[in-house]
Amino acid sequence: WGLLWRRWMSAPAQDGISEKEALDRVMMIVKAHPKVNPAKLTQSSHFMNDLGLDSLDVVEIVMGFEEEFVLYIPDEVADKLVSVPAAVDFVAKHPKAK
Amino acid sequence: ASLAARRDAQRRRVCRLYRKALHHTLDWVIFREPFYKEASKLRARFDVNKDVVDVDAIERLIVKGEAEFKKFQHPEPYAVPWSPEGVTYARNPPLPAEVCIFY
Repeated sequence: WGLLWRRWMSAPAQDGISEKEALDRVMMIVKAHPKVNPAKLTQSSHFMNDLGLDSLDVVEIVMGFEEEFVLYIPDEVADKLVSVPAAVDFVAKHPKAK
Repeated sequence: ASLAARRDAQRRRVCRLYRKALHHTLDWVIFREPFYKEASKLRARFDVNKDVVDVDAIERLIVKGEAEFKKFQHPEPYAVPWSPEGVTYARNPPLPAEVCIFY
């Protein structure tokens, strides 16, 4: 019984964000970028191929993710977040995403 | 070819330089509105050299940019607290399973 109590007292019920909420917020951030055409944005858009963004624009969007979800994204991982599904995947799986 | 690999490496260097420069600009300029202005200026400076094709010229520009960044760095950059550069890193490591806390 002490174990149950300890479990309840220490760990939060659910770490991170649900996939749906992650998707909504990611889409919102990408739409907020001035160079993005919201009509072309879908669930599976690739930033550089589908939306025609530059690599520096991708850097700006990734920085937006870092600030919105209060995450630390190291450089190697940030190089790979090049599309909406990749970003949603990363954010939904991250335990510390707010 | 190795040329494509070199260009790839240069692209990555430019992206990382831009990323660090943005973060440190946010550290210097703490409020959002002036930060957006400074970020636009920084982006304009990067965009001036957008169409350079020669690999050596790009290399020289990157080296110049990195030297300038070294002078521009913020002495105490903000990092997310639980990140390796942050303040709370490894502050409260999770307890082993044998330990029970009774309140």
